[in-house]
Amino acid sequence: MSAPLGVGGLPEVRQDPEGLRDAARRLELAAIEAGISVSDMTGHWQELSTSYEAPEGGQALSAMADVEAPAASFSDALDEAASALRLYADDVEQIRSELDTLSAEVRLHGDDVDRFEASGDEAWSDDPLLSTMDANLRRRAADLEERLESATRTFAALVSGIDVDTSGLPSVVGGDAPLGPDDLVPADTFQRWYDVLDDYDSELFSRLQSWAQLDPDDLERLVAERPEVLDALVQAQPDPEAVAAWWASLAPVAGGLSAAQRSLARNVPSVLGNLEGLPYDVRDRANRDVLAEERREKGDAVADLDEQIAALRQRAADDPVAARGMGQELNALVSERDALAADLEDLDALHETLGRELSEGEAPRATTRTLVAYDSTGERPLAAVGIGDLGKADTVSYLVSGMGSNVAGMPDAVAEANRVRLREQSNAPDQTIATVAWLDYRSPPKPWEGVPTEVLDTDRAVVGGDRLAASLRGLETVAAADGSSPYLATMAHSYGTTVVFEALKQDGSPVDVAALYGSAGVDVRSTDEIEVPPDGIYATEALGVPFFGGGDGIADVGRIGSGRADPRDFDDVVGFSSGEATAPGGHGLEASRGHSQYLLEDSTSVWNLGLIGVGRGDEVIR
Amino acid sequence: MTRYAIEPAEVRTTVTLVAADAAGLETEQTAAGDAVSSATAAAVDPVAVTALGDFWDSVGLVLPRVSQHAHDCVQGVLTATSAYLDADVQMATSAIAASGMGQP
Repeated sequence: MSAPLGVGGLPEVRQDPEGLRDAARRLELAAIEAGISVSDMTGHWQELSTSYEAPEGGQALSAMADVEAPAASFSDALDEAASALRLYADDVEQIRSELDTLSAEVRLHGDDVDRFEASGDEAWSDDPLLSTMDANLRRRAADLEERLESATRTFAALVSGIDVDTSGLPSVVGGDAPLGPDDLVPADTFQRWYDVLDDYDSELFSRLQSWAQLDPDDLERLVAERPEVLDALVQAQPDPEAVAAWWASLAPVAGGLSAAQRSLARNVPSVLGNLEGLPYDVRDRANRDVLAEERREKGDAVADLDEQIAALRQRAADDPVAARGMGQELNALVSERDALAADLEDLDALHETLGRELSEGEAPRATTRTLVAYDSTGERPLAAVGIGDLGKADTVSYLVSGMGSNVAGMPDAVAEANRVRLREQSNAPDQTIATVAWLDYRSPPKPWEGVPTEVLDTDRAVVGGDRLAASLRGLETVAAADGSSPYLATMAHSYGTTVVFEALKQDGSPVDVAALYGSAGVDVRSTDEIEVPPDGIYATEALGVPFFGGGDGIADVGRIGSGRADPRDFDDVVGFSSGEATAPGGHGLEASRGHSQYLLEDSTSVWNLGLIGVGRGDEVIR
Repeated sequence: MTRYAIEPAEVRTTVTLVAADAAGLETEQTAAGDAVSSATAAAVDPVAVTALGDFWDSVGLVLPRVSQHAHDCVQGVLTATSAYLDADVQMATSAIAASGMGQP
């Protein structure tokens, strides 16, 4: 006598519909993001049209278009695969549901059989009702098994039918042999791209090295003839360790600068002042020289325009008839003069903020200010000011400003960096502390002062992040030359947080801790994409006029408008308070309100930053 | 005749952005590869697993090629810019051609 159908005889559904759907979601997201990346990449490439004018320029410009079709094909393929996965998941789920029902019926059937056999001697299979039921259940089980196999075959057919277009593109190294996912993803993808730039920067650096061998007068002539080479060198970021070794080799005897170093300092101060790996006192002097020269030039230009304006006014007074045609010319001169005077005012303020220049060989003090970077190759100068002995400090905190920051705001930025420094010092009295007011990138304007959407774009953060990463590596190198390894913090406001995360994407980041306040959003999906030790990221946001879901009223708009992530949403980011609080010991701390009060004197946020910056983040007020 | 007017600092900025975009593309390659691996684990059935493997063997080749092409373009323009800074325009032209962007 055969046994009735049991649960063990039913087909097994081992597929995981939720897992299939999750994979589909991730494929769709990758398809969207890949499409955006390619669109951005080809768009950025077109910007070469304004900076690369040459007979072969058109060729170069059109070349990147070759990636568009294959990349679109890739995104389409992922979307198709995602659709197939969803369909498969739906089929599997339906079959599993029916199987659950069938399973319950099979159990009931088993119970009926047991009862029937317990009630007499007759075999259950002789009972027409039970045997019909058993046959019916078996047929349905077979049907479900067949449907599952069919769904799997359909899924396989759909996925196998997906094709991609790679015409016009080169083969990958190693040919088209089938590879697994791991083979196709270089282990160190991001760094590979920066290696290309590193090679270029190294080549530029070799020019600087050769300049050190030139007669100072020849170097002066060369620099005058090829200003674009100078500009390129100001932007270059050669390996700080190579720079440090080269600089040391130019003055094998300690004490003072060698003739070659003096020639470079005299003829290319703008390059030395921004060259990571050079001692900070050398950079400070070079940058102050450039700043002084620019203040002199602008001052002369303003005086010259004042004379022209006065002469024109005099002519107008002398000849009222001719004066009628002079209005436009006078207005243009006055506008030009006012713009120059405003620039000069910014530079004067920067100069005042710096204070006294150290004499050669004089050791920096805790309050010494160093013009760490000064780059005037763009529309507006970029700068960074250090407070304390950067090269020897036990603890260094970089304060990265957000949107709308420029040298005009340097006095405030330096005051804030000093505020954090003092707070850190009180938390670590035995340590030497230094801070840096870092405004050395082209920050986007505030939406109400310039192009409103600039702050939503991540481009400036990418370029700024590259500069910041170089600056941090430079600090690490200079400190290492002195045998020290400072505890390094980046503290960033608003769009500065976007910049910091771009910097932290680069390999070998020396940053120990990052504190973010009023973040305009960070362009990562998880903190796995950046290099910071575990529990090394802190974030806060003040109360403001909340837009969509709470925030300081500006930061949240930046995040929503850009689609960048709120760092506080990542599980491993530690939140800290910027609200009203009482410090240990009963000292009252003030709340920051809105987007621009995070670094207020005696605020909870500065209290917390003072702890985070010296490695005592576990004591922050949350 | 087109003149040479290359602004190396701007070229570097552009290349930095393109590099970041391309690196983002490679991040998506990783994400997609991981998603396919997850799908494979969830599908279980050898028929489905084989189909997914074949799919990735083909589709997974696309972005490395895109990336390689972008890399060649970037390399070409940087080499050309570098050559231009050496006042070697002939070499600049050759660098573009050699990078796979075609003959000027």
